[in-house]
Amino acid sequence: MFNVLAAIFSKEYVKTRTSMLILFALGISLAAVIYFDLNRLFMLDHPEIVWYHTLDLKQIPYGIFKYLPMLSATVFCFCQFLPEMRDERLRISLHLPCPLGLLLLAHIVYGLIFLMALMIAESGAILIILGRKYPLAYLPEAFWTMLPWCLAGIYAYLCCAWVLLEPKKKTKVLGLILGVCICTPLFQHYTPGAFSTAYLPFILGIPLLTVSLFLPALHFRTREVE
Amino acid sequence: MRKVAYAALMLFSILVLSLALPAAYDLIFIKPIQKTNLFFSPVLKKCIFTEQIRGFDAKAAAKSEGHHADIVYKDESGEYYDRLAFEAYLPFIYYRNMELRGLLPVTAYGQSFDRKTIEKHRRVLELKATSLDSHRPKPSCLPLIEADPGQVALLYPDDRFQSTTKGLQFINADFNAPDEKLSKLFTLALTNQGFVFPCKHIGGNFTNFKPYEGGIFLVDAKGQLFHLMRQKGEPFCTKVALPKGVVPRHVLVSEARERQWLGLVLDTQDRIWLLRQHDLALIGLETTRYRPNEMDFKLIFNPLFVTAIFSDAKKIYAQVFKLPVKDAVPFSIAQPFHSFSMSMSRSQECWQTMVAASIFPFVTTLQAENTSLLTARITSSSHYFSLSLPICLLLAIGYFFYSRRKKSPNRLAWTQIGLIAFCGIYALIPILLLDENS
Repeated sequence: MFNVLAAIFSKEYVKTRTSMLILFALGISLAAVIYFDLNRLFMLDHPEIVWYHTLDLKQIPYGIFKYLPMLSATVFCFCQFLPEMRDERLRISLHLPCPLGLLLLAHIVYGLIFLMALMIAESGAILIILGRKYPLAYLPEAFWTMLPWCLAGIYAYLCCAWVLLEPKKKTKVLGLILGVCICTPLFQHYTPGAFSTAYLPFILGIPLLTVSLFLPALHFRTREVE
Repeated sequence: MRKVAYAALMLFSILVLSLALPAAYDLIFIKPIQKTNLFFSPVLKKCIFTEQIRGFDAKAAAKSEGHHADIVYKDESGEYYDRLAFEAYLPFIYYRNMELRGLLPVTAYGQSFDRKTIEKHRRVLELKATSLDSHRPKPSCLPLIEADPGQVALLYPDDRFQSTTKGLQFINADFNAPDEKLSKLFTLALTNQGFVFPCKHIGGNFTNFKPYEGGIFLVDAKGQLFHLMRQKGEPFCTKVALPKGVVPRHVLVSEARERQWLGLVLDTQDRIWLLRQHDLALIGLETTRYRPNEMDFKLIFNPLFVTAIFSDAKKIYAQVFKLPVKDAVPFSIAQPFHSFSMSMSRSQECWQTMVAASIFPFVTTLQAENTSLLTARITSSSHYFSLSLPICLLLAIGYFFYSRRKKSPNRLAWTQIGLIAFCGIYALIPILLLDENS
């Protein structure tokens, strides 16, 4: 079983390495943009005034990051699952000596591990950049502001996987609806740091949606169409 | 595995839809209504208010002269006014319009008031529920503004401070590093006065857009209140005398040109105290029905009275006090001479809210009006048994017949029917789109 899972991970790596590299480069480029933007901000004004704008007026100097996790997740999901679904190539993997649930889980976990690593790298880089210019006490606020954007990325990946895996058009719509419904509140403008008391239900939703992805995979295997 | 996946999906869908669908419905169909503006009229000697309404009010429309018919001007006896009459009954609020119309000076309670007198006494202190420490994200670092900058305008300091378990820590903005010397100086000034760290609350007006710097107030671990000022770079700390048993919860600082009241203090027993500028004495206001965790509080000062206005999401209260004299006895508690309360128009139901209460058996929300922190809450429909449950049951019966068209209901279909009966539209949407029965 371990060999099968290693083979799946290896297959996924070969398939997605270019897209992973591009997305990683995109994330690092964006962090560089934030770094230079922030430097310019501190060059144009006195540090205490920039602090006033950020700490008191709650301006977000890293706001450009907001939609990047969702964009990266959607692109990555298409790169991972579109080749599998084109000409039904995923069917070949179904012949592996591995239960369907585990096979699907391996694909999803691979995607989630990459996305989480990418988001940790991106948000970590942003926090390091912020830590150079702002007091350390500001960093938790920045973390809680970025967390819902990263969660929206995870949900975008899972819902996108749902839409791609599902053969029935009607059920594809459900994945789309759930994606829009869960991502919209995560992108709303809240007081920076306000998410610190509400993250748990959103994190608990991730395993629920991951497990439920077994349904479209099953529909695919049993060739269920309208 | 299929059953587990199905159950997980249904649970996820129901929770997500109960969050998103009511929010989308409100956005499309419900007109948001601000809170009622309630005042005490020194001319009518009763409370008078203006509010926006949903729907149509013929008497309000008659007074509106065809324009903005959804804005009502009324007094506590139910009498309607037009906008000009409403403004004339509140000369201390609309004094600039009154002056333009040649109606100043105005006479009330046997005294004459011109623009200068009104401006001198007029001010508003506002304490929103969202400002309380437990209802907002903890501020990271705060500025301690120099009270004597040697120039007219106040300057923003190069450093900010944060309270730690051991003392105040100042961080210099130029180097983004702690300023040990300054930290020690201010920590020592506080501990010399008996301050015990960690600090429970820091209250201040952290802006330089104000006429002068009134300093900050700190509540220590023992519930004692201290006033801290920065003058020529040096700390000036005084312990504020508190009535016996009073522990401050929140201090609102608002410096105004009149320099009589520096702000207000909310204590842990929900009492409001005015904070006198010259001796930092506390003068209490008897606002019995004020619940700070749910209500926004406003004090409106005019040359004759102080009106305390406080409101939760549905009801608004007004209590009017005679203006406390400058030399009122510290810790004395002023009693209101006039009180009024009413339900605000925003709490009234209309067909849009009734439809929402019918189709959504429960609603998941993240935001609440009284806090800026997000918390997931599930609340059932306000008309669950009378409207929402019958509609859910109708949907369940409808689904029973729908599923019977294909084949006789199996165990899954009965579970689905039960889910629809309990969760209504939130369960029906994923069940129809998944179509697992087929």
